[in-house]
Amino acid sequence: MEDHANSEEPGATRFEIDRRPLLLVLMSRLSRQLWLAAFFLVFAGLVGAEPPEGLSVAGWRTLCIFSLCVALWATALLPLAITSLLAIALVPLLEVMPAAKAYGYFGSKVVFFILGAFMLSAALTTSGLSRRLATIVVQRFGKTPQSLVRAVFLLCAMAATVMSSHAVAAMVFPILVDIARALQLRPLRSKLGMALFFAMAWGSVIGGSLTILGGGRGPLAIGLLEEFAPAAGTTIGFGEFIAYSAPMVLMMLAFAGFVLSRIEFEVTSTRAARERLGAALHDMGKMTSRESIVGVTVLTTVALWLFAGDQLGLANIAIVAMAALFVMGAMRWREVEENVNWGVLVMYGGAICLGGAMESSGAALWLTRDLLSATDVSAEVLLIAVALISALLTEFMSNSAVVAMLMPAALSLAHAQGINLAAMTMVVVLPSNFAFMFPVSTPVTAIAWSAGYYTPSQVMARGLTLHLAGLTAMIFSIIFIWPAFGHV
Amino acid sequence: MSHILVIMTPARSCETLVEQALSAAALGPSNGQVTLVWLMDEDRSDHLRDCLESRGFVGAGPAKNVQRLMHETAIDEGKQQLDELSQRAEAKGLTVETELLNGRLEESVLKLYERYKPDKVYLPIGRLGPLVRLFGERALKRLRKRLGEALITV
Repeated sequence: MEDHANSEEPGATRFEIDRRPLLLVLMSRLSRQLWLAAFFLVFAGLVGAEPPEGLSVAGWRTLCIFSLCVALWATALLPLAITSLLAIALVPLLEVMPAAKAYGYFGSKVVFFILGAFMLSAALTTSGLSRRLATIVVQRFGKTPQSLVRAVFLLCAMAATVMSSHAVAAMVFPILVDIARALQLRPLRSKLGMALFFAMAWGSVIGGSLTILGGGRGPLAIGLLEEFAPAAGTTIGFGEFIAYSAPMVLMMLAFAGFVLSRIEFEVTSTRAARERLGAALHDMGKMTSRESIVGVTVLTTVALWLFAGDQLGLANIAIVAMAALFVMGAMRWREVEENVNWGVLVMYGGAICLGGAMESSGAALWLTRDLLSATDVSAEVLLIAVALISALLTEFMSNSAVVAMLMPAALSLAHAQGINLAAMTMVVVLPSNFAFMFPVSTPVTAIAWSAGYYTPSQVMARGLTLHLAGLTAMIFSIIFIWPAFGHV
Repeated sequence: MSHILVIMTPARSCETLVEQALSAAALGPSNGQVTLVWLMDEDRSDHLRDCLESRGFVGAGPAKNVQRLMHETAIDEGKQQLDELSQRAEAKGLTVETELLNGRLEESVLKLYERYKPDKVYLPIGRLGPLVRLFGERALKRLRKRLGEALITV
């Protein structure tokens, strides 16, 4: 069998003449640049135009920046972080607000909370604690193929309540690859292989919806909420977030567990996998002092977030916990650099700035007042409508971008209609996590796709079912559960 | 002598494709030749890398680890499939050549086409239209134009 690093013969030079018309060749090679040029031209044209009646010049310009960012976030023609940085620069350049204020949004406590949460997640990963715990759980509870899938599913769901769901998937992925190798599960052929990666993706996504630690969407939305109503001091605490999300998460867990249990496997024994995991555990040796320190620190931090988050501040707790890990020598800066995606932090800073500009310039209020002035429906119907939009968008674009895009208008709408701002925030955040089909919406799905055990039809059919089940659970929560607890 | 080129990728199930290709080759002259290629499609890898690194919280370290494992799994599967399929093809009396390569779908198929000058090229097709870039829909469209009736998609 030949094995080529690439398809060129060594030393050979190949020239291929593209015989298409020059204009066509240029357009195909420069399509990204042409799209960008078109977006910026339309943007420049709109900025120069007269604002519509009832909207200030600053509001109009903010709306133009917002539209440009939405287009760039949705198409990903530029990296998400660069689009956000562009927003921060355009706000003072177009005289929407002073530069000091615009760049000041980057110092939002939410950005630092996310940074702290990422660092803790990195500590769990690099210390080896998370991998040890995951291996123990899967090895102990995965005695049959069915219980193996269940163990992976529940492990991911539980882990994603204290770590970002992406970090959970990245942590469990190598364990599943090991299991697949041990059991000789073939990509695109093995039902058990498929179910294991489904369990990883679904467990991480659903579990990650329960707390604000499951991903950056929650903190970002809370940051936008706090910027929207700074005077009112409206926010969502750690426990309050769980109170909103728990009913939906429990229903989703039950449903996804049921879907997984319906898959019939070609394998009857998991012995080879358990032996391999047992050997891996043996190689890890006894729990190190570093793992113990990280474990105790993470538990203490989560307890503080839960019971003293309001008094001490979530961001402060996160940063102090991280500093404690460095003081005790349980973490090195190089590990933080390797395990934290800094681009996302930049993206969030820009999104919060844009949300603040939308609110302070009156653009968000104008958008909802003028476009939705005829709205005469109940709070529940509006909440459901926003949840549907969020759920629809999230399969096709990054869920963080969905939150950044929808939050300003959704909060203004809630404010204008007298709807609980926290409830409106949650109907944007929770459905934005319903990313069960395409890899563009969340890295968790991308990681599961990377394994190569899915066919498109397998993931589409089950992903769509879960998506609809999630929406049903969301609507059920809005209509029956949240009002019963005074959340709407 | 008829020559059939079969391109398989990690993104698609290729069983029907291979079955049809081998049957077509077996129906031709007795010394029909089949070239089986497992293509590690770089467009797919790039797309997944972009989803992994640009849109979430996965840092560079874990992202590289996931990509390494993805590559290893796909190569292992490719080698295994090529071994199995070449045995099947030989059992049908066909002359078989196998190749495992990295490359972009469109470029690689065209280069292989130039190199082997096959009568037919069998390629797996995606059914999700432009929604998913993983399966090379754009490349397929252009390949159809360039290869015409020689390209058979399954």
